[in-house]
Amino acid sequence: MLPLIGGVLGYFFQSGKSYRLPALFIGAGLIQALRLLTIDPEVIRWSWVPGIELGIYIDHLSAVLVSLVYFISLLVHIFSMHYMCGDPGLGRYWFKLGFFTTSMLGLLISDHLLLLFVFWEMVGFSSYLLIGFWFKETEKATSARTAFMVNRVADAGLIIGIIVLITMFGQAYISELNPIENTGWLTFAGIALAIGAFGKSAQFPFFGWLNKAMAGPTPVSALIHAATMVTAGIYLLVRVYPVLTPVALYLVAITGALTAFIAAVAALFQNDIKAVLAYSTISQLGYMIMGVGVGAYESSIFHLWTHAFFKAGLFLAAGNVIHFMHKANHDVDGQDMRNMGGLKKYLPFTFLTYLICGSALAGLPLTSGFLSKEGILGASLDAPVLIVPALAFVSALLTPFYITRQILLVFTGEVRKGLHVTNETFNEPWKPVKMPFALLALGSIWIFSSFNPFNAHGWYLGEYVFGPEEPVQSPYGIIVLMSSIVLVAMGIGYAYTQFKPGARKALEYKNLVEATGAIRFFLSGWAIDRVYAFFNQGTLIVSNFAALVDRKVVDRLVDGAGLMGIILGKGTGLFDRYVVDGIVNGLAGLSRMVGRTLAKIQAPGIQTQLAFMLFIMVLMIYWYLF
Amino acid sequence: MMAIPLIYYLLLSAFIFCVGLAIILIKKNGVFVLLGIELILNAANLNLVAFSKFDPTLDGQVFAVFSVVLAAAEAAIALAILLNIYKQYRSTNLDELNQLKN
Amino acid sequence: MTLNILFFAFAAMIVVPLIYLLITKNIIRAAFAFAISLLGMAAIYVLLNAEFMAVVQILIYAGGIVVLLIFGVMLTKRSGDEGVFTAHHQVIPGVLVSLAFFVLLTQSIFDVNLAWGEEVTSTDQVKQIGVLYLTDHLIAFELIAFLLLMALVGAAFLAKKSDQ
Repeated sequence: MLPLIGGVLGYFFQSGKSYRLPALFIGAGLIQALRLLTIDPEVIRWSWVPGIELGIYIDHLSAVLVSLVYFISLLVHIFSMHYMCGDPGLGRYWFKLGFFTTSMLGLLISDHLLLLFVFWEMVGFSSYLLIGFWFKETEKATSARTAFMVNRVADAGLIIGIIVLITMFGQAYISELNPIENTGWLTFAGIALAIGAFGKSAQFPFFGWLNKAMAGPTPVSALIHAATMVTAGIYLLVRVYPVLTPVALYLVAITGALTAFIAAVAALFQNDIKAVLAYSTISQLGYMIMGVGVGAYESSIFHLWTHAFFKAGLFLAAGNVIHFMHKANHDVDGQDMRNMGGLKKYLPFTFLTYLICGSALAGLPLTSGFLSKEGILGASLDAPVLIVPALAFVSALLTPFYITRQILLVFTGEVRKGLHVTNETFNEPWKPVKMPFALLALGSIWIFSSFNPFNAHGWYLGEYVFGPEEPVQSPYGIIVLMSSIVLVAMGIGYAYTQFKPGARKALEYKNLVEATGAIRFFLSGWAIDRVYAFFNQGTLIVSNFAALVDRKVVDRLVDGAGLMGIILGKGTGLFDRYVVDGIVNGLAGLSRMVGRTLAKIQAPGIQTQLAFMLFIMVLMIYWYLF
Repeated sequence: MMAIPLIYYLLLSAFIFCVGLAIILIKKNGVFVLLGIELILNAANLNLVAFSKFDPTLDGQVFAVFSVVLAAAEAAIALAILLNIYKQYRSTNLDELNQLKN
Repeated sequence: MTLNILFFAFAAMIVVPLIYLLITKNIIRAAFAFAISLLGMAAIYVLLNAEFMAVVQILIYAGGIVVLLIFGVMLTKRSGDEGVFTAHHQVIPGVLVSLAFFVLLTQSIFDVNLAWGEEVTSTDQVKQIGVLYLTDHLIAFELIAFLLLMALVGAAFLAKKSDQ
């Protein structure tokens, strides 16, 4: 509850120094959460209506994740002081942030599945509020709505799964879930629950919303993408793991691997600094989901933990870059990487953070990301079908490629767009704000996760969360280790040759920005580039395709169609546009119908309202009496 | 003298109450709704008096008289308000009163 | 036995006008039906040995409130068009909800199994009530008197303001 109180206070005392209040409350909550770490698993129940008991359940997993959420939330609060400074809706912002954090914490500690669902919805709703924070811009409001609606579709899956679990199997408490006989209904429930988790964790086919969620303030993106909302799906899957049937797990693993691959491909072609991060998040979430699917949920939680650190670091750093771009040059789009370049000079500290966190994302040895990712990769080899490890390893190659590309494009080379750096104070955020960066970057180094930089099962907290595990000696251990290092090295090396300062592609990237209308020139420039085509025909085709989609989107924006196009890889753009939007539209129609019916409660007058009220009252009395 | 069971009074009172409720829900006219409220109050009074028959202290009747007085006060005020509303909207139809301020 | 017959007669005197009240759309007729059922209730009070209540009922309800209601109807009558008639809406849900509530009430009445003691038949109830008012319930009595006064002044004020 503390974040909410802090948020409310922050809302009411917007002036002066009071913006520190919410952060203070989060800090207090963090201390509380650390205290939680020391206690034994605990179940608290209270009766709600006769026959149904709600409860909260805190075990080591919850305690660790609660601390994590508090920690990231605290850092985001601190960073927001810098990033959101001077925004007129600041009080509102604190309130929403507090609301969101509170819902997320509730989600992590609730025991009854229905309670979990309630918090699940609250998380969805508060994220809608946060994404649509700048609701005056129609595009952003639309993005928030789309994100919300896509989530709702998946939530339908979740509630169906919960209902089946409760009514058919009588398993309503997370702490009491146990394996039961494998029936068709159980598979159905498992798949439904998995769909719910896919929605929250932005998995195929629901990943479209995460990119749109980028419309929110950047610290919010850090909070949503790093520690909280998207990991709710993983958390749910880990929790319901005992009741997932092999078929459901199979589906989960395939979806995870597929998402990891699709999103990694999509991330290769993004121009928006936040969009790259968004797709990389989706890709990493795909890893986690896949990990659960192949039974390595420990590695998934481990990856969740490390991912929270380096992704929050990346987002905050990106936020800093955007902040800087906005201040330095008002005329250009501050999120477009085509306008950036050479920022190392101006933002050395941010660059350092970005570099460390980015290498963790890439899975470079000696970083936390390497450890956790390797655990998942190793486990993926146990998957029933070959496609899962295949996609996983390909994604592991693509990940270092796109993050290296991004770092090189943003921070190195020449400044592509004239920056008016008038005041040196713009360059780096003030001191207290550096703290989150430093903490997150440090958290991305191996030593804070596991003493041995090459032992994927050496997570400090692993034993604490899941109890002592028998040492699993994977037959592929050393092969996985070597191959992932090789893959990372290949990805980074290739990206570096392509995008190093002064390289042809880096220069062409600049061309693109000077005249967006001159994409034709850009394309023809590529066509001449026989050498490049010779080396990598495949990439050229995909790139051309992406460029085409890009042009389409640009044209559409010019035409004022106002559609937020997503530049996805092969086919995913089409899929997203037709299938996801179709579902969204269909759902919108359905909800409009339901809404019209229910609106009668509100609309005609006091007597109708009274009738409904009495009706509910009579029902409740019946419920209580009989 | 054969006593009438208390339950008869209670049933009668329940019936009056529910008719009052139905009138409040169904009728559009404000005066009618007021009438429904009076009926509900009456049902309560009937219960009070019926119970007080089995209570030597007569508190039930005392309370019932209070509630009658309250009903009278309420009716007077409500009708005055209705008059004002009529002045404002030229109607006493509750559905048409959808503004707090015009 | 006679008592039973009397009770049912008076109950009918309440129930029949109430049903008419529910059906009719004419407010004036409704007000008179209401008056009849109020008289029936007064008779029931007499059966309950509560003569004072019966008198109060007739004086205040039948004499006061019904007249007030009729005045209200007359004053808010829309000249010309539908007059003293009112419309119904949401008849089915309204009746259904009320019926459900009625079923609920009867069910609970039967379920409660009220254990009541001896009937008390006192003779000089009016005197007893008077004594009670001025002793045990003195503060409440004064308060309710004050409230009534305020209500009437307030009503007069509201009505007067509407004239201007």
